Amino acid sequence: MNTRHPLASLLITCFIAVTFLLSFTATGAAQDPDWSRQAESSLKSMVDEVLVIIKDPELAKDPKSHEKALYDKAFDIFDFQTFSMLALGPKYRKFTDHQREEFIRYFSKLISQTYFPKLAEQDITNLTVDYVKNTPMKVRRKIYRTDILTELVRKDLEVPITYRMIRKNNQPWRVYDIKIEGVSMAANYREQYRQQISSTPDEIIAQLKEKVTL
Amino acid sequence: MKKLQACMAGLILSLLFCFTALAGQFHALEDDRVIFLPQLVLANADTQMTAFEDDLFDEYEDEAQQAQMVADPLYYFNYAMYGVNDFLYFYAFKPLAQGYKFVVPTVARHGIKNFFHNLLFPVRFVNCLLQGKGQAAGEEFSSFFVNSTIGILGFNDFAQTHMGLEPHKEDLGQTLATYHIGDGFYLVLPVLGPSTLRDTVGRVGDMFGNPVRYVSPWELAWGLRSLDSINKTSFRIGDYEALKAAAVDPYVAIRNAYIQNRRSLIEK
Repeated sequence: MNTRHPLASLLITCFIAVTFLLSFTATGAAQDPDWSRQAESSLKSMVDEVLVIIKDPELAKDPKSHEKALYDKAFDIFDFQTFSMLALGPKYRKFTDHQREEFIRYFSKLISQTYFPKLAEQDITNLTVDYVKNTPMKVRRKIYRTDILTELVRKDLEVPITYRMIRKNNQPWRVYDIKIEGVSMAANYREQYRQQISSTPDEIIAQLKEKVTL
Repeated sequence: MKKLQACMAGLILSLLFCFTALAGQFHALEDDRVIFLPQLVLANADTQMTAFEDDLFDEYEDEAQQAQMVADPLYYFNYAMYGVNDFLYFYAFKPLAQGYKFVVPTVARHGIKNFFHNLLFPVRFVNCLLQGKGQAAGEEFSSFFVNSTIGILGFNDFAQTHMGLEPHKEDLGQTLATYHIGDGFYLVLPVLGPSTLRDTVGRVGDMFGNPVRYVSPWELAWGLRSLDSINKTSFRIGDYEALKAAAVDPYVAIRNAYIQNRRSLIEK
């Protein structure tokens, strides 16, 4: 009585074989660096575009419009939603949709007013960016992520900068976190917000608003 | 009859599994190929985002547990020292470094930076060895040899600019970390800035490898130390201000930045 019907055994074997095969091809796809190279090339063009704006002699004359131009550009570079999610950590869940928008609005300004001057400092003419290493992460839920290590070189001063890139739902590649000399900006904010145990979303937004000069 | 039922159930189940597995597979493929599943994808967009949130939160909860945090039992002392250092930076080091930068040409400042870097060769070399990094130790040795001779007493970093020999930032604090000695706790040292118990111990140990320590009139030794630190500061004017301006809570931001930076150095 315990013996299975031959057809059932066949089906089960087939099923197991198929799942095995599929899982193998799936892991194969996960390791495929094709999309991570795509991320790198889009990062390259982003950085080049930013450098063009930074080096623009016309814009450089007026710091305010220069900042504005870079801030507008920032939205083509960063995925501020994911960035904010990472910066707020579990607190993000307490934010309503409207509060999230508000937070993102000010946070994006803060990031662009902090990050771009770092790129623009001093000798812009001698500034080069080397692409050192590309570390793709496992694809989960159709979300592609990779860490691209670059080196910002000015004369003999080198700053390692890692861009953490994301692509979700077939949207273009975006940066969702920057690590400068091993220090992740998102993680840094997350630790700061973690310490502010009792602050409400509105307080956090107000505090951020104060920091923004743009 | 029972057999047939079981068989049918098995068939249906396996078919179902196959389909879900297949659907999952199409998800994993390039997105353009999912044309026949658009409704499913759209309906899943929101749940996908929350699932993505969960993934992210899980990921950095792990991260937080193993890395980001360090105990800060001396918070009040540290906070006071942070205040002292902040004051010293804005009212002593920064103006000094700015004046120095104005007077001393960039070429000379680079030379001085290289000179002091070359001087610290024993510290890097010994720590490379202590960490079992033979190749790094060898590279450090070559750099030191080349820079001290062709680079004229280390004023030119010939090894890096012409031979592509990158310096290895190794110190005793990192060596101790590779021996699985934890941070202990966060410590802000007066003048020297952020550190941890372990890194402070490392610093003391490394002092013995610094030739400046053995310079004979002590006034000269202190003069050299001051020159080194003012020279270094002259390259970093603005960094501290930027960090402070961007931070919601500068004390925590600096503490976390120090820890993260150390972690990344230890990993290398």
